[in-house]
Amino acid sequence: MAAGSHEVTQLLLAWSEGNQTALAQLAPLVERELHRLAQGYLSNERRGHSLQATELVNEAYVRLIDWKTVRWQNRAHFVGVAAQLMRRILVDHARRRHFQKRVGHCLQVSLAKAENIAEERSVDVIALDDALNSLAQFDERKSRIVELRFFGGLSEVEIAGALKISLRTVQREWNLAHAWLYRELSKEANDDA
Amino acid sequence: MTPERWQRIEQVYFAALARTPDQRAALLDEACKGDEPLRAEVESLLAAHQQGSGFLAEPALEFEAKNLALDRRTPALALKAGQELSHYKILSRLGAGGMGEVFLAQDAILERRVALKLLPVQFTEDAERLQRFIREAKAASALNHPNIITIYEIGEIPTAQGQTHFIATEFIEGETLRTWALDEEQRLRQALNIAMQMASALDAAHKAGIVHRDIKPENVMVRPDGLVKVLDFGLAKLTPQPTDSEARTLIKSLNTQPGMILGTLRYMSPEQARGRGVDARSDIFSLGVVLYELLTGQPLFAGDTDADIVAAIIHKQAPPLAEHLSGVPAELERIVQKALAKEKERRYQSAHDLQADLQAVKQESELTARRARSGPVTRVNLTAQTSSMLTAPRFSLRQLLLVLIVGLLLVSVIGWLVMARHGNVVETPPLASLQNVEVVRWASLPGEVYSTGAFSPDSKWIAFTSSKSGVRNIYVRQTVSGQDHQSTKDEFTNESPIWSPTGEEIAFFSIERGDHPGIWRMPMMGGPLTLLKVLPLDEASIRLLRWSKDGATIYYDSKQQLFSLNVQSGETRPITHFDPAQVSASSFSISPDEQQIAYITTEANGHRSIWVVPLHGGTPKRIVDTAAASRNTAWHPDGERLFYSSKVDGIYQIFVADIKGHQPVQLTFGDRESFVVDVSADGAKVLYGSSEEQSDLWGISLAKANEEFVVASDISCELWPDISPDNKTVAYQAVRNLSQGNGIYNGTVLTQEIGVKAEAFVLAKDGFLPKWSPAGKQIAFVRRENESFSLKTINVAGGDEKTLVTGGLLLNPYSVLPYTRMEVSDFSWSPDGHQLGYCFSQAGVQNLRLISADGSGDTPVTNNQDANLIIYCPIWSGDAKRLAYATRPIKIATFEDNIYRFWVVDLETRTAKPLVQLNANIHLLGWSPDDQELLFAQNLQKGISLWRVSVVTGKQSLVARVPSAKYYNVHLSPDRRLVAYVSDEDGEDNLRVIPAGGGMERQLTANKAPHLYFSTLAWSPDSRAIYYGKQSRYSLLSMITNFR
Repeated sequence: MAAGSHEVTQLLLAWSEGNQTALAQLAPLVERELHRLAQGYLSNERRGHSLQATELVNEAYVRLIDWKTVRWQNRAHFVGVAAQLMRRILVDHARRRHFQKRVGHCLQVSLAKAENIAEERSVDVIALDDALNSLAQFDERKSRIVELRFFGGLSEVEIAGALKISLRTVQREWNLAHAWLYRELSKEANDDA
Repeated sequence: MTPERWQRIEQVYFAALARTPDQRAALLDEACKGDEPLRAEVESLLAAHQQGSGFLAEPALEFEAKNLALDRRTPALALKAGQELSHYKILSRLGAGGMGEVFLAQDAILERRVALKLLPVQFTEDAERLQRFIREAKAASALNHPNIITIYEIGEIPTAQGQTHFIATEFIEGETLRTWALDEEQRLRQALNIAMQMASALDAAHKAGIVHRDIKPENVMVRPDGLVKVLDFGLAKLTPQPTDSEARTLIKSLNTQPGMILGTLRYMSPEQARGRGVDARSDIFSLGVVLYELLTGQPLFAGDTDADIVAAIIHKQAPPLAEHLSGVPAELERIVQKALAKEKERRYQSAHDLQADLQAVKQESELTARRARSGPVTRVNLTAQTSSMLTAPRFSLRQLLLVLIVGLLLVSVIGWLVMARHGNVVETPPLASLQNVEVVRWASLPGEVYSTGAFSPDSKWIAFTSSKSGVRNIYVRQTVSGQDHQSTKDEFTNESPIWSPTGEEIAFFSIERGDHPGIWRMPMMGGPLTLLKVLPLDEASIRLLRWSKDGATIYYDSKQQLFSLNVQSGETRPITHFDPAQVSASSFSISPDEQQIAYITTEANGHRSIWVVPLHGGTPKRIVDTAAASRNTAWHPDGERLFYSSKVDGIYQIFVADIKGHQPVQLTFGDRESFVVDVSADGAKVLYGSSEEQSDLWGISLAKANEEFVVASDISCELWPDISPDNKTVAYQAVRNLSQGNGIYNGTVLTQEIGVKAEAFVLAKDGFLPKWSPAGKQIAFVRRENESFSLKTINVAGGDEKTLVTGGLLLNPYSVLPYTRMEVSDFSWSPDGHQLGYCFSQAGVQNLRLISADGSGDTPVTNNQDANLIIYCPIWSGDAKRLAYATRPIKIATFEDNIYRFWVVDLETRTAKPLVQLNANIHLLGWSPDDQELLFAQNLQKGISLWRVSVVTGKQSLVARVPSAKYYNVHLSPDRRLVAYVSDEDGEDNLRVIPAGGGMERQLTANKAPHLYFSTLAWSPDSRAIYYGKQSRYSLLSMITNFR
């Protein structure tokens, strides 16, 4: 799959340089990876394993975008663009998924079967996307850091490198952005506030 | 919000965060004087900071993929009785297995009953494979053999999931061998009868050139009259099978068969397990396993992971039958051993020969009229029974240093057979000849993270990093005593320690040290630091590998390239020029003579290769080629052998390879991921890191606050306790290593007398969620069977297991670390112990039902028709006349639709009355002492609120707000006067109680450890004690001490 990651990297580069058709070519690659991952979870589960395959995902990111190997002059710009793009693709995907679930034939997932992923579902990618937009209106940098970390899959150290700020600043910014987003999203989910 | 306002909020927020919680109020008083909204804003952000620890913890790709997996999970085909598919009319559902769901149906044309098996779509996507299966299945059926099931039709029908392939076969009224119970008195005779019929079926099929490939108890039906039918010939062809060329080792085949289900492995032949060619003799081996298990009543090849089972299949000799069954004819002993020969050349060469030999034994034994009697062992000694559990460390939470000499982590193999490149089998000296691996293991504090490590040149010390102080610092540890010393004591992140050739100094990488991130050196015990080289933050993925013997050079890797640093001049130079897209991060290691580099690449076909190349250039030599994810390499000082970690069944294990390219040998077979880190210069010690989750059961008496006592801690995870009516015994489930693949559903149900030094008693080897009956005679529990849950009861003294509910039992989810059940009740005994209330899904609709404890009188209590409704959490009133339960929608379009409802149903009239309807996260706790009210908890941003609702008027009233309570951990006492809950303050979990009518909170425990979690609570029936799990994640540094 090294070829795949190279392909994605090229497309991302093209997109960051203004080639809009790259996006259309890129989305299917990301979606293919999503489906591969989902299949991985399902087969793990069939083997009696729980749906915790962080390893799979780490590999997926490496397969999709080999951040560490990208040696562009404007690396910061590049990873920023790539994370933005991942965000767009994943939010689109979530929208379509939601739509299909409502409209398409009803796949029933019993409560018991939802197992331990049930809790994690409380984060809604679409709601998060909206909240990030709000955050960006008064604190662009925090919004960017969340985008790089959550959508881009970058580590704190990598974010520090990409934005040319210290690791501590990244951690601080993340701390508050994280609390703010958590509160905004629980506001929606919880009417006690 | 304006940026200025936000800045102010940020200032106050971080100022507050820097204070201890009790100082925060004063700070906020000062900073927000006259600005209440500011204060509210900061307080709510502080609360969110504290609560949202799991929020956004995983990257979006992972999150979205999981959601997709959830959506795509093949749902049960909600076929209803009466529904018609083509010319088949569904009568009932017979069951489900890995290869599809089976229904009893009526063939409308030929007017006969058939078993209709619907194959999952993913097995029929490959048209060629499907055709092969159809050919074989039909050919077997056409043999018209009494012991082979007759296939009527194979075809396609449209279902809700699109075109679905089906097989219609004769309907056998009977049971599969899996559930069929032998008559103890006639075990020998019955086992022989079954095995002979199976051999007869196989003989006929083999003669026709058909190999079954998946002989196991689930594929054998026994009719009440004793006739045996072998099912599913050829079906194994539909699951991807490794071929000789694509799977040289078994490990690979395990990773390439996503559809394989645990358990089916147990009947595989050694050649199948190794991914080699399969023929008729493989079926004979599998039949041998089935026969062995029928005779002994014990699994032959058992293990907790696929890898363990496979190791057993390949290496374990079957113990003599006489160990389990008295009066076994010596001839039968010989037959079974011959069928189970590891090399197929030494096995029975035909099923016919096997059948003839069995026949002779049977006649012989009937002549002498010898009866087989078995001595059933009812009380199982846990430590002996589960001796392999010792691979999980048995440390108590207080005991941190741990030295285990383990005879089990075991392995390897004398006279290792090695497949040479072209498939010739060559005998070579073994790569490792350990019979028992001796391991020293150190466990961290709860939540502490260890990473990397290196042996000192004299092998007496290990340098490693630990997060104990908050950030990673460098520590050294004596390998003999385990004594630690912290060498760097600062607020910067220090990583990747290596030793100077004299062992007097340590070099390390410091990520942020003022303006000087880079490589530093210091005396091994700490002291003045010397900067060797500043490296930009951008190159943060730096790992130091080796300090040269002459002391002049430090080798490190960064961004998948190897560099050298001249210690004197500070000059750095790249050594490699790899394509970074191909080389795996952190895979480099340098040979002891500093002449060669080992590294791992990912090939275009997804395989990983391990290569060795001369340090100063040359042709790389591939020494390992594997389909399994692999990482970390470490050289043995002999310069010939190389250790690495590679995934087996989803868990990284340590392998040793040699530079000549021999087949690698797997060294560890544990449940924990093992990442090899370093090998000592004396060649005897191998250092590796891992992590694990642990849960022990504790209890506390209300009368003796702060005096917690351990109830069960032998197995890695004990959880979800339930206390006997006499308050003396706790039932719980134990799971080996939850974090790495073993779900809660793979539990063992045990009982343990409280305060008595006795062995735990294994009640049910496969089960979870035990609940004592009110009379204390039985325990109800759940078992996962055929992808769904069954409700069972078992006598508390063992035995008399009954299945009450199967196929659609609904359970509430649980969270991970802490492993907490998300509702207080999944199913519940009536107060008189005559009935159980449970939730059940039938044809896609959920309802609450009652069943008698003897399995009779299964009736619905509710009459729900809405497929979008979850029904859960049944709780009996004290007078046993009513059940309270909860409902909420499965799918919601908007948050407004997310209505939680509580109901009370009158069991006399079966009328249900809604009591509470709230668009808020609430859960039911139980009834008031007079049965007039229900108590429930609402999830708040900070803690919970407790509410009462009158069953008569529906009037709700607030009882208390409990800001420290964790929402999923709130439990009403059996006398309904106290509410116990887990409190979380400053990240420290503790147990508290508050009167159910409101009042003062009281803390029972005095935990100060930040990463130690309290999970699912259970009250003793006398309401005087509380039992709970204490859980945490640990890092482990382990060291094999006797490598040769």
